[in-house]
Parts: sequence; structure tokens; C-alpha cells
Amino acid sequence: MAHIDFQNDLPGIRGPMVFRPETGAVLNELA
Amino acid sequence: MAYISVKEGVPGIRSLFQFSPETGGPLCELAEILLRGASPLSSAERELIAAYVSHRNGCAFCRNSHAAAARCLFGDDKKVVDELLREQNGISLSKKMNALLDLAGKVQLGGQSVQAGDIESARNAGAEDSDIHDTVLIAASFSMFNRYVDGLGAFTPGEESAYLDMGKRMSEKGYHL
Repeated sequence: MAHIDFQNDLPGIRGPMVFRPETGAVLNELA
Repeated sequence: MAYISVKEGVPGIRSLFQFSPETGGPLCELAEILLRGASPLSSAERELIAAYVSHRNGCAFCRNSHAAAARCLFGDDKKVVDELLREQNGISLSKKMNALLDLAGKVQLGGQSVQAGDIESARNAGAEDSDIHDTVLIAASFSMFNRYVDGLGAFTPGEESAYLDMGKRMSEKGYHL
């Protein structure tokens, strides 16, 4: 179970990326 | 001297951003969002987390530059930066910030070092999900930045004075290539 509520049920890093789309977008760009 | 051919005299991670602008662009953008973007934590507090994680990773360039930026942003309260990096007791930070720094220290050791009790301590000190998220991502990202800088032997000025202007510029202008 995640330590915080991501407000979604997505697996792995997608959960925090959707929780915080500003950082999620740039992390995706980096990948 | 760096382990790869980067522009001589350009300090730290900036030389690596110039070497590889394709990765440098998003990495700069990530730093800007993490340290200057919207967050329940102030930029001073976020710079402090960055300096603390870099200190624990032994990355002198990132520690010195982000500590310098944190001192500028903390202004009259800048002594907290040196108290923290000297690991002095009784640091004049809020309970929440102390708990978040403990959490950042766990992330620096490894993600699986974070236990439910660390999160509970942070929550009991007043941290909410966004505080916890941002702390963990800053700690994780700076562990990557630290390894990137030292793994390529990027130029690290030895004299502390070299970081004064750098910290001022970072505190005023943020992170843009």
C-alpha cells in the first residue's frame, strides 16, 4: 500500500506521476 | 578534471547539461519545478532538503551550491543551513521540517528504507501528502543528480567563495539552461 493517497490506482511510478502531473510530465520527458 | 570531455572551467552539473542538452533540458526543468514550482514547502525549505541529501551523498558541488542558495532564501534565518550540515543538535526548524528531513535521509539511503513509521512521524508533525511527495521526489532526484555529477567527475570548485554568486543566481533566477 502506498505511503500517501495518490488519488488513483495506477501501478508503480504512474501513480505518483498522475498525482503530481507537473513533475510527472518532465520525468516522462526525461525517460 | 571530468572523466569525459566537457567544457573546461564550467562547474558541476552545468558542464554535463551542456555536454548533453537533450537530457540537460528536462533535468533543468525538473530542478526548476522541484525547487521553484508550486509546493506547500517554501523554496528555502526545498533547497535545504537538496543540500542535506547532497551532503549525505558526499556530493560537494551540489551540497555547496544548494546550501548557498538556501542561505540566500532563508535570509535572516540562514544559520539553519549550517546547523543542519554540521549536524548540530537543536536546529531551529519546525517539527514538520525536521520530520521531512529525516524522511529525506531515509530516501537517500534507499527507497525501501522508508517505513510506515517515518510517514506517521511526518504526519504527526503536520505534513500532508503533498509535503511528503515533494520531499521524497526531491531526495530521490538529488540522489540522482549527485551520482551524475560525481560519477562523471564534474569540476567541483574547492573554495567556498565560488559558491556565493552561484547560490545568489540560483536563488534569484532558478534553474534554466
